[in-house]
Amino acid sequence: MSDSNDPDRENESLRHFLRIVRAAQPNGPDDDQFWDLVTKGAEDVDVSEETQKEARNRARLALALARHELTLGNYLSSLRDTAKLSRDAAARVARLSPDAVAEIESDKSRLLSVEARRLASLAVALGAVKAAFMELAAQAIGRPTSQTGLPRLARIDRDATLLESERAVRRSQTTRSDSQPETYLSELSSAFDDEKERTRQA
Amino acid sequence: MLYRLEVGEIESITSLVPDLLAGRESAIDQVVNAALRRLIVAAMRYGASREDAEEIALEAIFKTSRRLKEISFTRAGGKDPLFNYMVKAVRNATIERHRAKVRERGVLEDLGANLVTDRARAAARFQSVDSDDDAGALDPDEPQTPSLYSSGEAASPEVVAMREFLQTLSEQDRLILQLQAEGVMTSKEIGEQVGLNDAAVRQRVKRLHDHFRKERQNV
Repeated sequence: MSDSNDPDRENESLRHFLRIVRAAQPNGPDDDQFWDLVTKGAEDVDVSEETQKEARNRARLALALARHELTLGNYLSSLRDTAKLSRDAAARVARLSPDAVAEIESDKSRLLSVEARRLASLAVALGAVKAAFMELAAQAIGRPTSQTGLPRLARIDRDATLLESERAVRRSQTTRSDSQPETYLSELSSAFDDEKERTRQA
Repeated sequence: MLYRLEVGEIESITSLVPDLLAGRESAIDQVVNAALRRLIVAAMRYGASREDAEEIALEAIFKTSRRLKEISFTRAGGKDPLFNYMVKAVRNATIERHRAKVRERGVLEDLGANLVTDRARAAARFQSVDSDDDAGALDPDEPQTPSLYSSGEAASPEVVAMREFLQTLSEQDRLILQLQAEGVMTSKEIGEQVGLNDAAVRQRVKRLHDHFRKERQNV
């Protein structure tokens, strides 16, 4: 018998039905049904060596982050070593100068003055994991050493080693980004996704 | 390479936490070997494609490892809280990924007020059942209660009957009911997962409701 003639009653009946559906779900790992649900069909899933290796890498990376063993610089530097990519080659991909890459890798760079899109290009080219990259970038921006206001002259001198296009970018970004680390991180995140998508399609 | 593992191996991964925190390679290997394939399958259970499921499983391993020190294993519960937590992370990541795809296509904007109403209805419907699940505030970093878990109700005859009923359904019908009962996804979002429109999802739920009611009346 249906309660469809009484909408309120019908709705209550439907809510009750869904509560029972919910209550009928397995009780987590203490319930055998949980294992059925999670593992059903698992034997048919083929997991490549590459994926297993990547899973280990991600766990290793996350644990190193948890132990505060990484900085953005040494993370990118280790990725570049693993990829067997020269600094010049990495710089070309990101349209940065080799000196700028060296500064980033040694954590000496004022990150906010590096164009977000170029930093993201570098990270994607090196195969960075986005969550780790973003966490380390945020740390780098928040680190006291990064926030220490270098004398203006020193900054200009350091920029003298950069490509003209980089100097232009730094000039245009310094004022805006210095006061907006969150905006910078947001741009970095979007740029990373865009670059990743571009790489995937290429 | 296909690898096979026994449930017993899964049950022990929480005991590896101290070794994981110390960065022991053997512990990392054991956890990945025991959990990876099952996490991929769990993501697929929640409606992810095979390709997405792999990335979601990797993401869950990363997030769980990153937060290992902070995880409250008491809250995660179960025999193996570490794996339990990973499955919750998989579930959240699957829903987030799905929503991101919908946003990309601009479907959310097009739906406008209807979707908001639908989501509010879904949230209100289950507010009294489980306040942990809030449709509008799903935090991917904070695993929510997945549909694999009950709200703690005792196995009444009605619940037992429901478990039997669920066993008779197709994979798609079962998934629709589970997601609908969870109250986190809207009918539209569930439809996206299973390849139906929202009206068809609501109709399917109603039909299953009638079916169950009829079966109960015949007992």
